[in-house]
Amino acid sequence: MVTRIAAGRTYDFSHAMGRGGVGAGFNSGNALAFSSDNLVYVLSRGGEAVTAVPWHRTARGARVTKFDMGLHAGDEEFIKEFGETGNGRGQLIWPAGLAIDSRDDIYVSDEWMNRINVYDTDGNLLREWGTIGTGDGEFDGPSGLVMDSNDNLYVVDSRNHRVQKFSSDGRFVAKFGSPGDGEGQFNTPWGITLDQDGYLYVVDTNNHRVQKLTNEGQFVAQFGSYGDGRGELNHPSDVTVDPDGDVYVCDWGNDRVQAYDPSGSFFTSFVGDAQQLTKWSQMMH
Amino acid sequence: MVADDALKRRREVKDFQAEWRLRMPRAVAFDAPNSRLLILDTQRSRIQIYNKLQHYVTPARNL
Repeated sequence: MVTRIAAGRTYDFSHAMGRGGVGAGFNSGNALAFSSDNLVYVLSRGGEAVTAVPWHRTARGARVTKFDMGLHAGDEEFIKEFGETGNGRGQLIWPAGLAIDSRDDIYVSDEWMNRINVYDTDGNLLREWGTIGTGDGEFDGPSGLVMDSNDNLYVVDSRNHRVQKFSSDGRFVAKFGSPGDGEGQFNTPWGITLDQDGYLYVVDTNNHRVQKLTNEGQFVAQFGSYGDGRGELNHPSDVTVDPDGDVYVCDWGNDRVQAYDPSGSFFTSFVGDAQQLTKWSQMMH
Repeated sequence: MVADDALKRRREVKDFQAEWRLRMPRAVAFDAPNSRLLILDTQRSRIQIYNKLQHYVTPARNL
């Protein structure tokens, strides 16, 4: 067992799960979220199988995979997958973000289609909204999603360099952010999360930082700067906050996860410790 | 089990350390009820899981 002790915190590597491919596996996993019964949903972005022919004839693998993780290595059980590649109703081209509301409805953003798809737990499409544009309620590359305790959905509108807030039925409520590198400004943001106190954390990807904001978009603090050293970030992609207030940032370009304490001080990195093949990999034919 | 051909090819690998590591992770989530960090290890098509221990005690061996 690999144990990491840092700044009074202790982490044990537990295990890895998953594999490449369809069914019990992922294909360029892009987001994950928990339902109220602690089942896990992973969003696969898929890939292009053949170049130089239209995407809708070659792309494959975009979908949501639902499974029960269990607690220990080998406990994981595949339940089902839904969504498929395409530009029809309920289909996905470049799925990017995933969020689950209090009814366990599943929200998926699609960067290419510039829309939000909403599914029930069985994968049936309930509703969808969105179109390309810069106006209120319009998108240019919607990516990260997070749902607040009142079932309002925050959508990172990546190429519009802003965050938009919607009701669960898709009604525009508010927006904040503008292009730039100042406080409360963004350069192609991507991931987003909420902490237990209701503060938003937005991954400001091309500014190589994470911004902590009030739920109305007022700047509070920021984490990280460009680089590959301690506490530095290279095109971060996602963020989460634990109940102690510790912040974990996916440092995509440096192949690691960076951890910061509630005051924003870096305290450790996770670089991966998966020394055993996963259960599903061992079952591969 | 892994297919025989895959097992044979894996026997040819001298050092698996690169395979242990994260490769372009895209997403991260904290499973609060179970106090564990989930890292979506995108390019290796898996999730790596770390338990955050709440009551870890370091033995004071110098006493």
